[in-house]
Amino acid sequence: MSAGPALLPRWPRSLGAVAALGLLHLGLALVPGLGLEPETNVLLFAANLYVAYGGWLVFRDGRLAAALGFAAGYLALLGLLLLVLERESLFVLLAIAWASVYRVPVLRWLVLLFVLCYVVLQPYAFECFLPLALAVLAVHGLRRTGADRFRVACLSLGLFVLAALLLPVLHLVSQDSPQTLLATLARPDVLDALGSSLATAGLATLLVLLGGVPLAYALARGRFRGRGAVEVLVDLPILIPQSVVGVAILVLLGPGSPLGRGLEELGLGVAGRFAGVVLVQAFVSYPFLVKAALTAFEGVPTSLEDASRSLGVGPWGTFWRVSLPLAARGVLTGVALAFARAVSEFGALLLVAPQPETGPVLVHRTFLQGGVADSRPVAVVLVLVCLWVFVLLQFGRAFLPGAPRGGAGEVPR
Amino acid sequence: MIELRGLTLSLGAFALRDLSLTVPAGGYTAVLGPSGSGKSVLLRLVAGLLAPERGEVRLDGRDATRLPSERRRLGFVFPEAALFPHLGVGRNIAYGLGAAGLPAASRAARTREIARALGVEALLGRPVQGLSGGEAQRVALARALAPAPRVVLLDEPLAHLDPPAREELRAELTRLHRELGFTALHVTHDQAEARALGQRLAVLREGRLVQEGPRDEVLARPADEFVARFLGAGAAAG
Repeated sequence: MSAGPALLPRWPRSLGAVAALGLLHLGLALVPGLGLEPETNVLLFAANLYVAYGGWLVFRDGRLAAALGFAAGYLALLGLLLLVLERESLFVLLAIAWASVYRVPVLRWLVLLFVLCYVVLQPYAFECFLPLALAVLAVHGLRRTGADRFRVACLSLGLFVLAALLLPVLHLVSQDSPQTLLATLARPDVLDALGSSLATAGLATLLVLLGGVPLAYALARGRFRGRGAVEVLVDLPILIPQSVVGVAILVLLGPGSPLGRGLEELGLGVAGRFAGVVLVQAFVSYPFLVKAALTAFEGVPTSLEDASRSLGVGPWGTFWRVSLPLAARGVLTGVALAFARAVSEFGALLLVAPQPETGPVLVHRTFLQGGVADSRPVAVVLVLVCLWVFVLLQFGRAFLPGAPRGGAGEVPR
Repeated sequence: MIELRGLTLSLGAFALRDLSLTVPAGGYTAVLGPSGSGKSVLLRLVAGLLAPERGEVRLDGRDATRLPSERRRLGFVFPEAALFPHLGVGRNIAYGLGAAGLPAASRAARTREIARALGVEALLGRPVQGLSGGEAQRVALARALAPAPRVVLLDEPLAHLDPPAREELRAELTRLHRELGFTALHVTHDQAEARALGQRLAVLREGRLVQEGPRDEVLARPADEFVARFLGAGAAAG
């Protein structure tokens, strides 16, 4: 026996095992009251033969614990699917999958997870399996890097909680058939609401970008008295409740105030207008952009700006040619966050400008009129459209130059 | 020519006091001092990256004290190259050429010329990530010298290189200075480097200029014990 491990047990044993399995299935067929159809029995025999071979391969590689784990998994599948649920074909499928992938740990866990989700958590199979499978892959990836148990445990716990948080959204998205969603998307009120949501949030994000980037740059580079206070004030829109934002804007700019009346006469009123929606959304999304851009600009080494200045390029040119390109990824993250925040604004809009109707306000209205059943497809369409925009913005980062990373001495800083 | 008159600046606990220094046109002055003696602050004052509280900076005879850095027409070499990571080697070197008024048509030729002078022509198409320390500092030198500045400021340009690359670049600096004839102010804490490069030596201690003069004179007659000790065995022997 000079070549590697044998692919089959020696023939007397192989033959014996096949004969024993055959006899077992023959016996099963003869048990009265079991009602096993001959075709099913043959299929089960074939599957069991395959599983037995897989089990032998595990056993051959030497560890008894692994062989016992293999057997335990098989018996669990057998008990659960065949005896409790009586679903032969699913059992055959999963038993073969189990025997096939058992020797690759991460795949083994994925099969178990699939069984758990598909069989035990059946109504929530998709929304449980998707995040948990990603979690299994991430934890497995971390373990392969040789991380210690504490870090693996932290990641596992964190991902489990994250999966639980995602559950309602994923469940929601998996509720309606694509046909229903397309029909919903074709409804004029839904189209109008989506259109005005994208238009207002896009405009609000643009305003916030134009107003936020200079402040973020100044805060990142400036050492002035009151800098800390400014940073706290930037957070103000996050700190106050949405409805309070709505009331505050109405008190200042609503039809009841002198300023609001003046704007109204000029045709620039905010209450119930497009401009009002944009104003509210810009208000609540401003901090997200400023924070992200501030962090990004702080990551650009000042020596690069100094180098640019010493090469004859003024502050304006230096900003455009060095600071902004190197901070672009962070700024784009800020844009994505600000846009997401602007699209999802609801509370203040309900007070200031429920018309023109945006997505969240439409979901609320359909809910009031027809309950969960009516508002669900609208909500799903809104989620999908918003997520799509968010994903596009995030992927846009890949096309931007990265900020320099400190590290090996060979990286120019 | 660089003329500094009575430069004074306090930054927290540190202060540069009443510093006057002249680097003759085409000269090479090495400023020596232990860390924290104000060498980098001095250089940043000359470059216009810091503004003095009092005093005057004159470059080639004109008062530059109030000029922003971009209008002083000088080259600045940083300790850690400070190459722009989002631009390739060629575009790093060409960065200052537009601002220097070079027409777009001749920028590529100038980039190639100066890259050849620094021995980095082969790197022109490369990204700056992955350059060795010596290569990165050569590219940084090429970038600073490309607009042909009359004044070049060097802030510990060899400090982060390994010894062979340091030797090599030191020789290169001597050659470039001889060929291009710029006025150089070179700051270092390394006595050997200062002795090898500086035609004149200046010694800084706690924000004050302790001694300045032609290299051999400073080495032969250190002004006080601090200078003697700092210049080391070479000074004692000379």
